[in-house]
Amino acid sequence: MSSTTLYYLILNGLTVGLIYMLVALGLTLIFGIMDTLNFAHGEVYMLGAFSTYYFSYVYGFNYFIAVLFSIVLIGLFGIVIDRLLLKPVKRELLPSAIVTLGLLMLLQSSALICFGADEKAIPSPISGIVTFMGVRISATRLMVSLVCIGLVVILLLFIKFTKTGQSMLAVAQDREIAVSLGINTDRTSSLCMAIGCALAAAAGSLMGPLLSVHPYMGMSPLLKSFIIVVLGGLGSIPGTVIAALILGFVDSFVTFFYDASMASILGFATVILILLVRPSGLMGNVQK
Amino acid sequence: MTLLEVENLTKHFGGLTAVNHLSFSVQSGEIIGLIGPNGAGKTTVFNLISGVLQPGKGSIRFKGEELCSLKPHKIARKGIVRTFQLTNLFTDLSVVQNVLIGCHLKSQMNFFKKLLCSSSIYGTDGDILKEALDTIDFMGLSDAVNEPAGNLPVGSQRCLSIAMALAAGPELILLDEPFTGMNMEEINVLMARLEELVEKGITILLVEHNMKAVMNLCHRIVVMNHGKKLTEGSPEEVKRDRDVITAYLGEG
Amino acid sequence: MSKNSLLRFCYLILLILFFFSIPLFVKDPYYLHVIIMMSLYIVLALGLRLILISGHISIAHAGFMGIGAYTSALLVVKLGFSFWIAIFLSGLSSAIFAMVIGRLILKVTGIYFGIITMAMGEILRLVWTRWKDLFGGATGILNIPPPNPIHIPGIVQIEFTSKVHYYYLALTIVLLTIYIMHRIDKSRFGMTLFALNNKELLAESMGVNTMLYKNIAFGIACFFAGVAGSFYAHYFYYICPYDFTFSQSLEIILYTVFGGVRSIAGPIIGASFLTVLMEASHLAEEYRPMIFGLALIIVMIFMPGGLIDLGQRLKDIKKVLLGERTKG
Repeated sequence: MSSTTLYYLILNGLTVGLIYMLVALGLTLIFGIMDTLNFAHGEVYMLGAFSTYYFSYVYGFNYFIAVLFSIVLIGLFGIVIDRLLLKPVKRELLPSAIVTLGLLMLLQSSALICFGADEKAIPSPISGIVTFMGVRISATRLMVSLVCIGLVVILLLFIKFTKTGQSMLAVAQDREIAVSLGINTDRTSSLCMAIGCALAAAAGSLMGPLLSVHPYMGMSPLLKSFIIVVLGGLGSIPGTVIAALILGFVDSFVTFFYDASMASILGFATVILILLVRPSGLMGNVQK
Repeated sequence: MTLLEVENLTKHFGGLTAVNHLSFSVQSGEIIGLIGPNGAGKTTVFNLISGVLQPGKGSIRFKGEELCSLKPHKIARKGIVRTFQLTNLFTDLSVVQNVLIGCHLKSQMNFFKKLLCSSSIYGTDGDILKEALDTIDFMGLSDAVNEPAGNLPVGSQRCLSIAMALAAGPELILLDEPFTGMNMEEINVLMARLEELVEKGITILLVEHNMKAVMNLCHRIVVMNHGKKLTEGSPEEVKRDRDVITAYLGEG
Repeated sequence: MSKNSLLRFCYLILLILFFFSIPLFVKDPYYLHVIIMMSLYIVLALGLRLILISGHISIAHAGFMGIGAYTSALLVVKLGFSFWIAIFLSGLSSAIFAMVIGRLILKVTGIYFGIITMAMGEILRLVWTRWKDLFGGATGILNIPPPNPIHIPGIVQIEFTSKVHYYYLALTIVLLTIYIMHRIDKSRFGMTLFALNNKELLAESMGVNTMLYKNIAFGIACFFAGVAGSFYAHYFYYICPYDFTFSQSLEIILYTVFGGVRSIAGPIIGASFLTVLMEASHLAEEYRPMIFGLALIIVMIFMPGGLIDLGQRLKDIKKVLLGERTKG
């Protein structure tokens, strides 16, 4: 294999991994802080893509503005989900899992009926080929990767340096202590859900120009992000980052040598195997 | 005879050292109290002894046998049973069902009978049922035999969790704050029952905040603070110990 | 037997007789088909219930049904086995697969378990699609024969040529399943399983080997899923990977949870109700997931105890209206 191919595979794995990372980070935040498994996460991703599609392609806004709108819109939708669906079941693990499963079915079929099954495309704001570190890569992919990195950095800064971010971290570590410290767990949960969904929506919006937009596009990211989150350790941000990159690379390389379905099989199987050795994921808290 | 020997027990949680080179022993037939301010590490010690957590360093020996890597159900099999502060009952099941689960280790039925035998009450052989009812009677819960455990008043719930632990037929019982939520009368009754248990040959290791109960009940007391053993001795000695007083007053 | 349970026993016998006699006066095979589907869902739901009450959520139940279906189809089509042996082996293969995997993955907490089952379901689908020679790929396995005729010389000769025969087979299977599940539910094993939900540590500290119990429950549940799969294969004569995906697993979860999981009556009533609802409403395919999703959400929020809980609440409301005191 030539070095160009190798670099291409690596870069490709990186791009894919970064988008997965965005989705998975949203999921791991929701699990880590709210102890909730959001099965509708893939559908939120899909909604983000459709929202960007409508704002940019149909209504003619600038792509980046459309993405921003979508992030905010879906973020607010996340708050609605939390208050309307999760709060009534007291945000308990099993009931919220089932409720979000119901939401998944509801959103997916509604999207199918409203938007139709045919694939749509979001035109990319930039085009052309760029040479990055000696490899020719499409400008769109580069843009997507950079935006992903940017968003992740913003997220990390938010958690580390703002008071709200710190209180979210506190709730993640020990809910009881957080409550006794006066942190409003209700508000924290809604905010967490908002951020988680916003991240998924961002990922969907960014994926739009790369792949097609259609009602079922959320299934694959759902599965992959769950795998990543579990592999990296539910609730661990560094774990998620590493696991996302690993999966991105595995996907890229195995698809090249075999095919996409083999990549998926191996990816899932690897994760299951790793979980058996380390039940809490690569970096998870063993006690949880 | 030394029933339980804890030596140099250490447990870290990330940067926090919850238990720090703790050593003490429990002789059979004693009631030992484990006390200390909140956060001293007492429940962690229980979790370590009962197998819920694995120690970082140190050893725990029961009747001379090392317990360190055993899973909780195997430790129960060896003869150590514990109660929990919270999550201490099967709230959806009735009182007698709760105790019957406690009898799990005693059930002589082979597996298939356990699986498919619904002819007797709760699929249990008659002897076990009798034992369960006796235990329920001992703890004074006979009026509530078929009540869902979640409906009982707090004091009765704590008695039930002790009944469940007893049902497993242990040699050593670890009681985690059994007197919490009880009124004066219930406390006196429970104290009398615990003393009866010791006469029957069961050894008790007790974590408790109610000082009156601890001082009157325990033969010896181990005082912890910040994961370490502060002091150890008879109730008299501990009451007068300066460090203990500072530890409690100092914590406000 | 007390008078009450004697009465209940009689009702039960009458009910069973009623169901056995339906083909005598209902001639339209469509209605028989509805009851067959109902039976299938009940078997699946009762199995999943066992997993749910021990505190785990399996999103791969359709996948285990698929294992049974593919095993049965392959045994009969490629190896010439008799259906009657194949259906048992299908259940067994599904159960063994479940217990081997279970030994490894049940040690993780309930939600990890759910995610892993989700991944497993996907792996199964991918494997069935990718290995065309063995499993027929995306097109699946066609021309699966009906169950072998039952030949007892002089007494009985049954050939599976019409819906009525399948009806009786399905009825037998579902009644057997209900009976076994009832026995398990009332047994010591069942009681202990119930205690494991959320309170594993407590059970462990009393000597219950929770891992073993969960695994056995998982194995039993998947045995019945495998049996259901085998029936499915020989009833529809055709199976493909898309019959046993994540979506179907979600449907099974809904059918199980809708009636409540506290008792075995829950999945039975819930699955029956939903099957009839779905068939009766003649809804177009694309609206079904939406209704399902809404139903799941509504059930979880308003009736976490399921339909049975609703029944109890209605009774309470009635009592209040009539001026009597409600219980509890």
